[in-house]
Amino acid sequence: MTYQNRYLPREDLFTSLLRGQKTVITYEFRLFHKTRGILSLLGDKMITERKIEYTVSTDTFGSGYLLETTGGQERYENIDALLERVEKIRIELNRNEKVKLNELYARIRTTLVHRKLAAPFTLLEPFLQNNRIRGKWKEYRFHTSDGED
Amino acid sequence: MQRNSSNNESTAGIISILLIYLSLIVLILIFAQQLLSQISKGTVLARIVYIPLAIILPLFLIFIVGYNIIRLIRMRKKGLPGSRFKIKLVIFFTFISILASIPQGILSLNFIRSTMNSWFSTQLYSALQGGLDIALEYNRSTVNNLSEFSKNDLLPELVQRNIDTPAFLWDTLQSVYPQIDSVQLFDSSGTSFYFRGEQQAFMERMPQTSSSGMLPRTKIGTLSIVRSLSPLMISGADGSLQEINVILSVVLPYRFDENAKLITDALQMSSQYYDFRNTFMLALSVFYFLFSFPILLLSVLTGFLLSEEITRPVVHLEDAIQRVISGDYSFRIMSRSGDELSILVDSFNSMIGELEQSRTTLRQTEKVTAWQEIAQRMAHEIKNPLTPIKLAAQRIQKASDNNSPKIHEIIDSSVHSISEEVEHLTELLAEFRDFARLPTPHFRKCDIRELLLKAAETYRPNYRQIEIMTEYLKPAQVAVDIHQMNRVFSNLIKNAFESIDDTGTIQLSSDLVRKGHTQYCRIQIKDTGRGISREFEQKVFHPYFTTKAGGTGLGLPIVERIVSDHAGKIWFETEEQIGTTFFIDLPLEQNI
Repeated sequence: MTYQNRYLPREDLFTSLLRGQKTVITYEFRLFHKTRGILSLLGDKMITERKIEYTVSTDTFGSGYLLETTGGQERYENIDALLERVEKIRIELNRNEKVKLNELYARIRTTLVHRKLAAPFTLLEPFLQNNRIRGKWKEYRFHTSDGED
Repeated sequence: MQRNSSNNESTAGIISILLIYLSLIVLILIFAQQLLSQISKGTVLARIVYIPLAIILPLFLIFIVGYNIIRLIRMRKKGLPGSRFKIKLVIFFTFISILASIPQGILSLNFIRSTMNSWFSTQLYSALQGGLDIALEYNRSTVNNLSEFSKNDLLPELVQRNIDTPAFLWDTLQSVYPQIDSVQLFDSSGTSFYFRGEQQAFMERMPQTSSSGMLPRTKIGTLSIVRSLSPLMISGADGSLQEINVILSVVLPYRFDENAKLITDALQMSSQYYDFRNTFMLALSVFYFLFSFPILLLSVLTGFLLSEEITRPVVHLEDAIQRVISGDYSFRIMSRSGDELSILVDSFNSMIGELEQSRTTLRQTEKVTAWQEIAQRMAHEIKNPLTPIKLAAQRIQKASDNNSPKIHEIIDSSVHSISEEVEHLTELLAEFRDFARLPTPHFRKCDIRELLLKAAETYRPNYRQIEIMTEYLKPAQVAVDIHQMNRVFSNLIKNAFESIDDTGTIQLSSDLVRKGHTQYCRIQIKDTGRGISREFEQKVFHPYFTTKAGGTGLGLPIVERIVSDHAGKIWFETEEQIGTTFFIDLPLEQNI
């Protein structure tokens, strides 16, 4: 599935990049299966959970922007290209054919950390609430063919 | 047996503490491992799943410690043996733990602070900043030089001059611009037809770009390459113009980007240290507290266990002494071999053994003496009425021999005298029988207050001038033989009434007292009578001792016997012309 994020706080991202800080964009993805009957009181069943993390910074030795992912480092010449890359995520899911698509739904939450903390200062992350903007969980419904929410 | 169960409890306690300690250490190690692993990887502590554990375990320990504290306070309030000593020991162990952990904590945190200060010193920061400036300057000059050279008019001229013999182009370019690492020529269709220089800079195809000048930096393995693109119009041999794209490359030094990134990261780390060092030390203190607090609680718990272990022999000794005081000489304390207090316990046990033996001997001696005394008293008491009987009989004999005209009067008077003396003898023998063979008491719970009031009411009509005070007489349910206890109270109250010559008061009171593990009802019968003279004080409970005319001297010995059969105690305080108070302690429950 692909997800186009419309809730990324762009202004905060630009401000952090202008300050020369490494900024982290995190997507938390959870896939749920709707529970029916009396079991629905216990809530829906979470099938899978993924986390995607992008570290964005300005290129000190060039004019563009650097994006660090688990796949390595990428360089973007302008901010639009960078935003195009970080606002769209693609997640590969192994779907159980027995489960109907309309019984599934996903929840996605975006977190922006203004200043990526270096070790050992990652210890401070729970204490520095101002360093983080955490969005609400957004629900994503599946259609017969993948689309945007 | 008591000792064995105590030992089992102690072993179970030690095993529990050890298990909690091991669990705690394992949890702390896992916690620390996760924490340190995440710190070293530089990942954020987003999943703090161990935080609940770090909260639940101390809460569990707080609960246990709290329970023990409340238990100890209750023991102290009840005045149980050893409770004070135990409190002192627990406070001592707690203080020792705190005193040991505070300097350790301060030392650890100071060590971390000073180590980090030396790691992130201002010299290091300046050195890193200098290194970054050099790298930036090198990068800027390389890019600028390449950019300027690619725009320079010399390049088209050199290419034009060597287009037919491209092999010379490389040598010429190198002589003009030595920093260059490769040159590659593409025709108008984007096909490469010439390449010389560093092989890694070779491009398979022409980059898709519409602009000339500097191309995006490319990275091949650990090498970073900066390139420039110069589209040139070159005249061919036939005079026609053809488009040639010249790509010049400069390969940056080995691992230039990686090293530059390392410097940048190190600088960021240094700046973060200066920005967050106070918060960091605070966070470290919090984590240190999270680690050390359960350990501290555990040491307090160990303090409870150790204090229990230390005070147990003392408690047993005190318990044994209380039993001996209450007359139980059969109790022995079990001691562990090798225990420091085993010598004391053994000495105590042998002392109790000897005491029991002496007591038995003394009792036998006392019994013989008592029986001797009783026999003497009996002989005396029986002899006393025999004399008037003998005299009366002789008087009748004499009157008969002399044919006395008053013989009938003499016979009547003598027979009356003989009957009186025989009746006194019968009464004496009945009292003696009661004293010698009191029936076994049948205990039943009853209100002592009611028994005392009933006994007082029996004699009140004969002593209207004497006031009976009962404001301190509280109801108390005590297991007694009602018949026997009624006899006790009647006897004592009768004595109290008889001791007051004219007017006065008798005060009846009762209260609850605790001696050792047993609770007693304490009864007081206080009169404002003549009191008992000092010379008679020791003989009050002796059989056949009496100061009353016609008294048998068995009333108070029977009272003492009944109280003793009730596992109680009787004593008195007296002062001549002031009054006497009899005290009776009766246990609330009877162990039958």
